[in-house]
Amino acid sequence: MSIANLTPIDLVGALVGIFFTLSIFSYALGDNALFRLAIHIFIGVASGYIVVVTWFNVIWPKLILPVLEWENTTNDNLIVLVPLLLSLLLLTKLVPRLTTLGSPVMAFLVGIGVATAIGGAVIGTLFPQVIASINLFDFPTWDQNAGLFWILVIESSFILLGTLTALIYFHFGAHSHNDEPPQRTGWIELIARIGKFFIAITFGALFAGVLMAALTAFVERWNFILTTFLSVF
Amino acid sequence: MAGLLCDNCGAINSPGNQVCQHCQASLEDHLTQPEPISSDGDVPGQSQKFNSTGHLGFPVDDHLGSEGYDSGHKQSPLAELGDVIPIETVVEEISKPKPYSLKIRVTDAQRTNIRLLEKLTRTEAGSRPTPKTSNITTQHIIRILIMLFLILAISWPIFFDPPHLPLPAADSNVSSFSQHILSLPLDAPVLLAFDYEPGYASELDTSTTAVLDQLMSRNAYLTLVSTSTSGAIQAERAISIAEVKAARIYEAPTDYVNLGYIPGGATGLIGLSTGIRSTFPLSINGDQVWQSPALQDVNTPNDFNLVIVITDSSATARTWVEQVRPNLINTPLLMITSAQVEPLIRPYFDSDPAQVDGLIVGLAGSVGYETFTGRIKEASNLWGSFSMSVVAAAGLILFGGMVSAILAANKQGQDYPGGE
Amino acid sequence: MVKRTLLIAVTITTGLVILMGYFINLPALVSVRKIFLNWAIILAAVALLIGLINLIVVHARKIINKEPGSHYSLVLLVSLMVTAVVGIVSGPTSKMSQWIFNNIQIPIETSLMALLAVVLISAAIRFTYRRPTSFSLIFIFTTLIIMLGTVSNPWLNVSWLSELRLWITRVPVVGGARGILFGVVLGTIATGLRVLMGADRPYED
Repeated sequence: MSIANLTPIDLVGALVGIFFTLSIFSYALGDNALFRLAIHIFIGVASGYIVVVTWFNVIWPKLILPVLEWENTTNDNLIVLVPLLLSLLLLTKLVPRLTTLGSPVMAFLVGIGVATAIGGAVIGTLFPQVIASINLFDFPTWDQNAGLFWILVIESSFILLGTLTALIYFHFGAHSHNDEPPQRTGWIELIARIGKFFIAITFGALFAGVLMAALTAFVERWNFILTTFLSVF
Repeated sequence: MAGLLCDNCGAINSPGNQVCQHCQASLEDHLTQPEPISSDGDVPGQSQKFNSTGHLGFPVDDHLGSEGYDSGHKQSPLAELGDVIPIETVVEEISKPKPYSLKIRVTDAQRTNIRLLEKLTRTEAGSRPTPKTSNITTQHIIRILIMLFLILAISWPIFFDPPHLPLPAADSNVSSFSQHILSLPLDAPVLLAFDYEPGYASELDTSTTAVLDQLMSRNAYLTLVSTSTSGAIQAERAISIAEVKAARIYEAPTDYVNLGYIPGGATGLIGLSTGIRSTFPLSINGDQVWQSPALQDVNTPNDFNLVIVITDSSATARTWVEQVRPNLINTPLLMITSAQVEPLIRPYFDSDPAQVDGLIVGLAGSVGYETFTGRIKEASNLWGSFSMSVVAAAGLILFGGMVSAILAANKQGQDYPGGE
Repeated sequence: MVKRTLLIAVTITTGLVILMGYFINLPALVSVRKIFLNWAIILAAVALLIGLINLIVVHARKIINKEPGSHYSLVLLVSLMVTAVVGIVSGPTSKMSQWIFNNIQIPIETSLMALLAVVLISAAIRFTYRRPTSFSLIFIFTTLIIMLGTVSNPWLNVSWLSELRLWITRVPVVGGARGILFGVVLGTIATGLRVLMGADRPYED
């Protein structure tokens, strides 16, 4: 980036970007006024954008426009009054005295949300992943290199072991005997320990991923600061 | 106080009434002289009974009911009362009440406890000023040192002779991802979902640009959606960047359309899955797009030739797989994800049959893709600094962790000398 | 009692219509389901707006009552108004909206992510301050192997590290992650069924 190629508005934008980047980085020295200013501006801008997107994508084309065009449409559009009515009922949640009027709408949303979650979980994850676990042992090439075949068998068994033990780790049913504190049954406890090993590896991989994503942002920000300073000064 | 019982209707009348106030029957037979009572307070021929409230009332006759009225006999209850009410009993009962102190008797121990409770509730109710702490603590110093060390590591390849840092090779994932795009017919409609937060732009923009470049080379008609509120503008930004880096011109609505935001998360996606036209009657800019040649045959995501999801969240990726993937019969689902998503999306990618048909992960995936396509070098330019920063971070964790463990062991030794 | 019954009936009815649509393909069911889903999408956006209105009211109250920090609330509300007005007047993807997004939202969010790197490294260093357990040691070593196996190392030619990283990602991570996914899915189904049977009523006041 060279200063000669930047328009005035782009230059102002770059300097604004530098200001906000350094404001956020100043948090390393502790909470301060600059950091708080940047955060409040960020929340304001993000919220303002939510207003814009909700208006253009939902409120105008789906609530208001169908009602305005009602006269020119078929009778089916009587049904467009229903979401408008439901939306007004939902807005009563803002007023403490009228909040019970919005409960049926909340019940409607909860019913749909819950059913969507169940349906997706069963059709999208449970069934396909069970089939995938079974297909781990579907080796079409029985007469291939014996070494490779046995490696595949061991790897597949390891994956299946990890799946089952990690699932059993989340079984927390415990019983107490003879006034001792509640404990899981012996064999479940043993299997859960193996599952904990797999979960530790999975979480380690997750943490590594989060850290690398954050480091990418750090690299990009520092590069941005350097290139802007070198271009401007 | 005793009343006069009417034999006719059973109503109680005030003493002194000669006529029943309810049925107008005569009450004269009820008035008789009471018998005198002996000095010891007992009325001859009488026994003392408690009334139903447990108080020692006036002596009543045995044959009377609990109310003390003889409703079945003509003789008045007062007839057998006795000559005089024993005054001693009455005087005893009608005596001046004992004075009781209005103050509660509190012991010293109770008083102490009350004061403690008052103090507790007083401090809980009001706000306490935050205790002044030092501006710079050990944590701040550690964070500043970490930051400086990272800056040094990142700047080294920029300012000094960079060590040889080979770029990651394009693995089979990258080549199969690219193959899905290269096998698209020209002008094919492609659904692109921009479901990542702006904070992950640095990680995902580079791979997005490389993929958009390839899609633009196939003249694909891009349909942009998002379940994130900032997704629509992220998508426009990505198109603008790709136009510059790839030196192409892509314009709306002839080359692409930005449909905008789908609210509701999973609910929105199942709505998209069952009917994209009802979910998006217009584009985000208010254009009627469904009559255009590119989209006139599109009713569901399965009518696109390719669906690509760009996301930073494993929950979002899982939701796309659960809600949209089951309805994609002939259309592959590809994903470009942040490095943090890979562990939880891998089971879907590695499964047989695969639920995710192509995967590019993080900056390493971007570099591999750029290496494979050979056109854009955005991620490759960051690779040196990124590698040094990751090595620096790993070194800090290893070295710092060892120091931390040694300090902890020393502290434990000081707290519990002799190994107790 | 009648009100509670009505609410449960609404939840169960709508839930069953949506759920059955995953398994049964009847034209009448499909069209009712589509209508319900469209309404839910609209209502989800309205719920988002309710949250925003609440945010505005809270900060406006702070300004009116001149509470400490109300000047930050003023900044927030001004930013919100300016962004909303610019977006509505010039368009959600206009050059002005993009300028605000590129020069304010992107730098701030990316910088927050960058700061997260410092915080995470600091947390990982302190992880071993307490008595290390087998879980924490496996966790830390997996993190280090994945990180070092992903990038190029200028001092060590450790190709086996990237092979190990690939194996870890393909085998134990897939096993553990699949088990976690099964756990999540079974929990989702159990919780969802409780709501659909009326045992849990999160919509009640």
